[in-house]
Amino acid sequence: MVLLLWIGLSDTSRAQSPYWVRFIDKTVIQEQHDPYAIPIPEEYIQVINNMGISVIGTSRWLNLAMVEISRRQMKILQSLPCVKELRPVREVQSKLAFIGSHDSDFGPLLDQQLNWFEYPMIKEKGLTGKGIRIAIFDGGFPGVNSHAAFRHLFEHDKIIATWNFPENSSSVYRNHPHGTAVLSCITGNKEGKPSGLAPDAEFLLARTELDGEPWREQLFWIQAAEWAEKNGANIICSSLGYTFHHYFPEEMDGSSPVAEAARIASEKGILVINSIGNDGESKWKIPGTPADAVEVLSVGGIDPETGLKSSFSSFGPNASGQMKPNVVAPSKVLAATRDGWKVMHGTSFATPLVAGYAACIWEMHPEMSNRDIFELIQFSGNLHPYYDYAHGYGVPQISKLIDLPKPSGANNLIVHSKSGLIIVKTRGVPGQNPYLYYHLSDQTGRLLEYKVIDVRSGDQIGIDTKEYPNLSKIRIRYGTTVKSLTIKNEI
Amino acid sequence: MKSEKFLYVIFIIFIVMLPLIPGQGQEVLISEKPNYDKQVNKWGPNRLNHLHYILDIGHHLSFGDEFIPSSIIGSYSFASRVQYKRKLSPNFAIVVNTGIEQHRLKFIPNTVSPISGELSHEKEWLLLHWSSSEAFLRINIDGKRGDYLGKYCDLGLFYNQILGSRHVFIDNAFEEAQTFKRSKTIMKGLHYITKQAWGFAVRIAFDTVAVHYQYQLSPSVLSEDITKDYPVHQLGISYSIVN
Repeated sequence: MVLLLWIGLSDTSRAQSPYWVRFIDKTVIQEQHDPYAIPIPEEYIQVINNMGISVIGTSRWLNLAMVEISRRQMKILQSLPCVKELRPVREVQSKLAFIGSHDSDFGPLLDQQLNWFEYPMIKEKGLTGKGIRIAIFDGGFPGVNSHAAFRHLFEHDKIIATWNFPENSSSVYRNHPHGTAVLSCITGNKEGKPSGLAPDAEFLLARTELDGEPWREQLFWIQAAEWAEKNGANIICSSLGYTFHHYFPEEMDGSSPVAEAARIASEKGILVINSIGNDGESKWKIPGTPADAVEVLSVGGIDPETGLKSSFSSFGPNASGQMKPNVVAPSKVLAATRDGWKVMHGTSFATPLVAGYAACIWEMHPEMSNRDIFELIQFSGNLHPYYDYAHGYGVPQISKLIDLPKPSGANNLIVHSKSGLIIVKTRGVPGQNPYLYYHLSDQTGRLLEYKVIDVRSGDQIGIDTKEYPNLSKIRIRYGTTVKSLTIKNEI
Repeated sequence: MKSEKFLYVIFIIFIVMLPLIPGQGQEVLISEKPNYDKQVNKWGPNRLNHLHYILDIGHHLSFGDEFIPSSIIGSYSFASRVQYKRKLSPNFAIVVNTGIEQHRLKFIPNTVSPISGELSHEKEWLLLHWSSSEAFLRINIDGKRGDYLGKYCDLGLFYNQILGSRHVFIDNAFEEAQTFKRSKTIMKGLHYITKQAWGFAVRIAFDTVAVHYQYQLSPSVLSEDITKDYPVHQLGISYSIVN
């Protein structure tokens, strides 16, 4: 009986599976008209409904609908003149990029998580993210309407709109508390001390994650991006990622529907910030989507004590070899829970810290575009112009964006090249970052190898370059000094 | 001479103190070589080929008068297998495995043993060791998935070759026996147990955990003197160890 039932279920011609239905290109009435703004023609949806298929949701940006159909219905749908393409929706279990913790020893964490961005200088400049609207996509925001950490948001009407996509309602102050913690890393307040960098920013809170029927979450993410754009968002902050349950590693090249929506959001002027994921120690290891998209500012995590990549933070690059993460931030933070505060770990919390920083930068340069802000954040990374696939350009620090006198005696590196050997000598006080970083890149800038070494001032290191490809480039960073050399091996 | 001795003492002290001097080593904290190889991996749970281990725990189910009455809890099997899967399409695959199995069939105590003639024993069981092979057609319901096993049904056949057999029974001593209280008898290399067995096999799985069922078509007991056969139904749980 069970067997018969199973065979019945596995009859793929009858079984219902979720599909993306992409429609033929919309007719653009005037050349200057924005095709993303045109809704999907009502008659397309009507045709599908008339076939007895219920449409789960649509996206005007991606010009598609999500449906649940059998194999037979799939063949009929494919033959419709309005249908351009059918694409299966993979089994989805999205991952909230967070690892819980029950530490009760808060220590200096609250100061630490902000000081990496040079908070005193941000405060001195009076930057609070004022006038910047941030949309947060998450699993729920329980306690936000009652927690003292967020009282100022309600007193000053800073929550502009909320939407619960799975339930089609405006009620978001329940479900998974992950969103509460994320919000606190942008705008929380613990007994007068901020836990994020943008206390005066405005917020759009969207619940896109759920427990049951998880494959719908991708559609909710896309719809939330459209909703955010409609409500005037400047920044999308998403600590979500889709990885091995639904994709193969080689597909992490920014081609997923969610990544495509992130790209369109970026085209529309929104800065999309997404966590890179917590798979650094797992078999997956690389970014999930939409953090794989070039247009998304992907955020990795560092240990706030050492400044080095947190072991769980995923590594770059994406499947096309493009640099990820773009920047990093502390991934061990003090964040708000439903009714208190807790130490939490995860790239989920590094992401809103960067979103708060981005809001401050944008407040400082309101004339700039989202791409300019993206570049500026990378430029302000504490490792810049050095980069690697563990730290990106490092933690963004505001001093790099403010005209300050250059520190004297910054030359901490002496580099000699001699017959296939590079001798590196460190000297002086390295400051905040006492490690020696070096990478080897090809002529296009793609990294072939990178290392971080714990050294002491005065140490000498030899790098054997005989095996390295001719004309590849070595970049070495120590203290505040970065030096580059091109390898010219005799052929 | 005195100063030489002094230098010698200093040298010894230095050698003894050497391990206590803190090290200044250069420790490599991160070392990565990114892989740009675009070649798609051919091995993995949802790739072209997949190889993994399976552990099975099962119970013999004795329904009907023609089978040896047995205790469900005391009658079990363990199997360890290596399984290979060749993907044919997102929904279909061919699966073969090989391994070793141990089966224990515990008879209902103090009933007339179908093997020991008219006698009944305090405790009695059969212990069989097999080398086992299975071949399946796999139907995956969730063809559109990432690199994991997914939800599937395996329909196929099994073939077992016997490695060893034992018939064990324990009896209480007769009342007049003076020198012992219980006796245990072990009979090995049973001539009345088949050397080969085959039948149908089914697995219904949710990723790494599966329910498996086997129906044995071949008779297990070959002797005409033994009126009841080994149970043909076996139901259990499998766990796939996937790296």
